[in-house]
This record gives sequence, structure tokens and C-alpha cells, in this order.
Amino acid sequence: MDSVFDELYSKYHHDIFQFLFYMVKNREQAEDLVQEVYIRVLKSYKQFEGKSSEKTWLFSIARNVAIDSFRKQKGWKQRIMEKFDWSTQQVKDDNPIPEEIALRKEEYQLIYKCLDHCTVDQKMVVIMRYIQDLSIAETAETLGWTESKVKTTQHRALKVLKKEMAEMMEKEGTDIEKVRVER
Amino acid sequence: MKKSEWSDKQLEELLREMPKIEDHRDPRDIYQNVASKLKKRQQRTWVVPSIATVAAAALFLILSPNLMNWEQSTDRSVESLDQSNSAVEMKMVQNNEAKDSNIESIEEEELKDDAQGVSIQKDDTESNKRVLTVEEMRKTAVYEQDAEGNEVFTYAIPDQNAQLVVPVSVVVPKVEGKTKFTTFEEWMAKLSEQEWGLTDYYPLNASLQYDDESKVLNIDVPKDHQYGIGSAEQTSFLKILNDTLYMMNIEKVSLTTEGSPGIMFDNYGMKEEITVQPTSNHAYYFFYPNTEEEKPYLVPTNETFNSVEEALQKMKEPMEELGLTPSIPSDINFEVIPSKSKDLLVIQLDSNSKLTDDSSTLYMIEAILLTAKDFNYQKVKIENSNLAQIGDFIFNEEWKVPVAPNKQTVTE
Repeated sequence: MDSVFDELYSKYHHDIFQFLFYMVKNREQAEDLVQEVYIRVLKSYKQFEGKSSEKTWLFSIARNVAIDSFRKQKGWKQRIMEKFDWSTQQVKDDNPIPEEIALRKEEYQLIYKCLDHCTVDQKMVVIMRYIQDLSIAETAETLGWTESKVKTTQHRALKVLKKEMAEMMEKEGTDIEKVRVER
Repeated sequence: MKKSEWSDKQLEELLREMPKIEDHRDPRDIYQNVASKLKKRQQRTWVVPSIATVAAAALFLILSPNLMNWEQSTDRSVESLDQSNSAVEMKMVQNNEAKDSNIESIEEEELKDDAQGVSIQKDDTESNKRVLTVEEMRKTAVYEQDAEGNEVFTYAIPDQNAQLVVPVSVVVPKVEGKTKFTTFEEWMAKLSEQEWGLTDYYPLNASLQYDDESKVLNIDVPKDHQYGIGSAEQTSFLKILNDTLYMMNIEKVSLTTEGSPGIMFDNYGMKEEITVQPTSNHAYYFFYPNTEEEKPYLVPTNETFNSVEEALQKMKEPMEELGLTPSIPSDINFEVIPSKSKDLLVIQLDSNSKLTDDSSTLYMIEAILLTAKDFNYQKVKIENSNLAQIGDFIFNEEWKVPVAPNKQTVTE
């Protein structure tokens, strides 16, 4: 195996995969995207000048890959297909909650669901800052933003999450309760 | 659990505790996938530009002849338009005349088709000629490929001031059943010296008889011939005879006046015989006649030189008294370096000497080639040039010397 790949895999694979997974909420898609990240990295690895840290460089590539995949998903073909193919529409509407999360307290499931109500930017910041545990500075470098933009986006994201979670709690509170009882 | 409000801090805590999601695949599988895709993409990035390159090259090849013949083709298309218009008119007239006769109109149609076929053929030959002009006409001399299957005759012709003798060559098709000399003599009458900016000299005011076996040419002049009067006339006549006949490999000439031996020359007295002297070891200069022709004649000097290097170095110096222009620019420095064979002349340019990429450099090369030929070299190589090639002369390669200087075409 390629030594560059080896090194990147052992250092960052799980972080990148997890980031992509939370972004797209679909294991298969995350698996494809993480491969795309490797392809882009291996092609441009020689151009990596060490201006930024390796970690933020990788995350910025992962972020671009995720954004590109959103753009592709929203292409006219998919949109038309969605209109006619109701089964995909339904699947899309509620990606199944992964096992790892389904087994945890309902708060996590709530958060997982409500992440979709955030904008893509807000979602990225939340995932990077809390789930990946990147610092404000690292997040700013990854996204190419100023630190203050990261902070405000983060603040707004938390606000959206809180609001949506509260609403959903009221609406579906009983459903979640039921699910728990059944288990 | 019923809590429907979270503080920022609680939410942040929850977020930090979000379950870790892992990729369960074997890293080797991932690498396999990545590597195969990388390969595919690299192939693709290679394929697309190369297809584009090929397409561009093809397009260029298709378009470039048209661009080169731009003027020609517009002229021609106008011409052919005219032709087709008149053909249509003719057809209409014909149709009116023979309204009911289908046969005639069909004939007319066929005629028109034929005419088109002819015009297309004509166009083809014209464009072929055009390509030849661009490629070949720039050079002044006759080369091996021109001479192939043809006869090359070189005639020494005086310039308008009768100061110089210019060797002019014509390439003529070989004629079965005629001796070389007969063809040579026939073509003498066809030369258009004045059109070429030279003096009308041929055909000679004499009858020529060549004996193939003894290789002796008899020249019989009339009593009132002009060749013996005036020293310039006499000198040039003898020189012209000598140069022209030397190139025809004729060694001896017997002179007669209306059958009786000898021709009277004022300066030389009665001459009955000339032994043709080999002419060699000259330097070639440019001579621009007073015509619109941009190409110079490449003319050998009267002076002979001991070595080819001496001759070549001389070619940088002016020779205005004879109306000759140096054939090598004075700022071009070079030396003749020893070569592996005595047939090959190798010239090394000084690295400070810069050749310009224009026709004067092409003519310079031809002058060098002709001079080399005069010193019995078969091939020439020029090294250390700042140019890769000029015309179809590629530097650092061995060039064959020309067959003959100053090609002219005879318009019959």
C-alpha cells in the first residue's frame, strides 16, 4: 500500500469518516466520500506546502467533498427522479438512525435529527467543534473563515438546535417514550 | 427526561458525547478502491487532452492549405462562379431553343457536367503548382529531385551590361530518340533572356554540328557575324561558349565561317579551334537584375581561389564594380573545419553570428553550396547555427550540393 495513504489512514481516517457521516447521514455515501477525499489528497499531496496543518488541510478537503456531493445531489436529474420515485423520497426523508445512535439516550437521537434543520455551514461548525473536537482556530483555518465568523455561526447553530429540539420534544415526545418502552 | 429546554452548556456536553461512528471496512479495501479510481482518472486526464490535440492538429492540417492559398482560392471561386453562371445561362438558352427536345437538354446537362469536371481538374493542378511554388520556388538552384528523369541544361547568358556571365539552368523533359545535344540546341531558341533581366543572346547566330563520337562541336558562323567585333563581344563570346560547353561536357570546338575554317576575331586573330577549359574554384555572389524579381542570380566570380575557405571568406566582401552583392553578410563569421571525408565540407559558424530567418539566408546557403560544388565537394554541413532550419535545409545535417545554379522556367 501507498505509504502516504497508510499514514493518512492511521492518523485521520476515523475523524474524516465521522465528519462525513454526520454531514451526509448515510453510511454508504460517507464511505464513497471518504474515498473521494483520499483521491483528492493523493493527487495533490505533493502540492501540500505545510502552510496549514495537515489535519485542517484534510478537513478542508473533506468539507469540499461533502459540499460537492450536496451540489450533485441537488442536480436536476435527482430532483426530477425524486418527484417520480416516491420510495427514494421516503428513504431520504428519514435516513435510518444508525445503530450507534439508536442505542443511546433519546437526546442524542434528537440532536441527530435536528442537525438537519441547521444550514450546511452551521452543521459543519457544530460537527467540527464538538464532535471532532477541533479548536475555534482549527475550524476557522479549515473553513477559511475568521475566528469570529466561526463563533457566531456556532452560536446560531446551537440556538437552532435548542429551538428545534424543544419543538420536536413537544411533538414527538410521546413517540420517543414509546420507542424506549418497547425496547 | 421531560425537560424541553437545554442550556448551551448542556447542549455542548451532549454534542461532545455524540457516539463515535466508525468505518468498518478494511483499509486495504479502501486503498484498492482509491487506487483503481486514481488510475482511471489519470488515464482520463491523459486521454481527453490528447484527443483534443489530435483534433486540433487535424483541423490545422485541413485548414492550413486553404489559408495559404487564400487569395488564389477566392479568385478561383469567383472565376468558377462566373463559369457556372454562364453554364446555367447557356443551358437556359438551349432549353428555350429546344423546348420539347428532351434529348438535347440531357446532352446539355452532360456537357455541363463535363465542364465542371474539367474545371475541378484544372483547380487541382493549379493548387498543386501553388504548393510547389511556396516550397520550391524560393530556392534558386536545381536540385537532384528536380532533375530526376529530366535533362538539366545550363546556358551562360550575359547580363544587360555585358559585364557578367550568368549561368541559367532549365529543366526539360527527356525526349526519346533525340540526342542530348539536339534537345540542348532546341532549347537554346526557347530561352527568354530578356524576360529574365539578361541580354538576348540565344540562339547563336551560327549553325551547330556535334559529333557524338569525337565529341567535337563545329560552330559555323555567317560572314557578317557579330562575334568578332569589339573586345567585350569577343571575350564574352569565348567565355560563354567555354562555360556553356563545359557544362555540356564538350571538350573541343572547331570554328568555321561559312564552311571555311576559322573565325576572325579582331583581338585574337583567326581562331580555328577552342579547347574547352574546365571552370572551377570560383566564389558565388548575388546578382540582382533590374527586374521585379526578388530572387538574385547566384553568379560565379571571374576570380578563382586556392581554397574553398578563401572563396567563402571573399563572399563577405563587396564587388560593386561588377554589380555583385556579397552573398554572406559581413557580420557572419565562420570557419571551415576538417571533415571525415573529402566530399564533405563542414562549416562552423561563430556563436556570435546570428542568421536571420528569411530568404537572404536561404540564398546565402545556396551560394555556399554552389561554391562548394565548384571546389568539387558533394555535400555541405553547417554547424552551430542559431536556426534549426531554413526552408527545407536543416542545420547540422549534410546537404547535397545542387545540380545546377539559377533555375528558370521557359514560357513557351
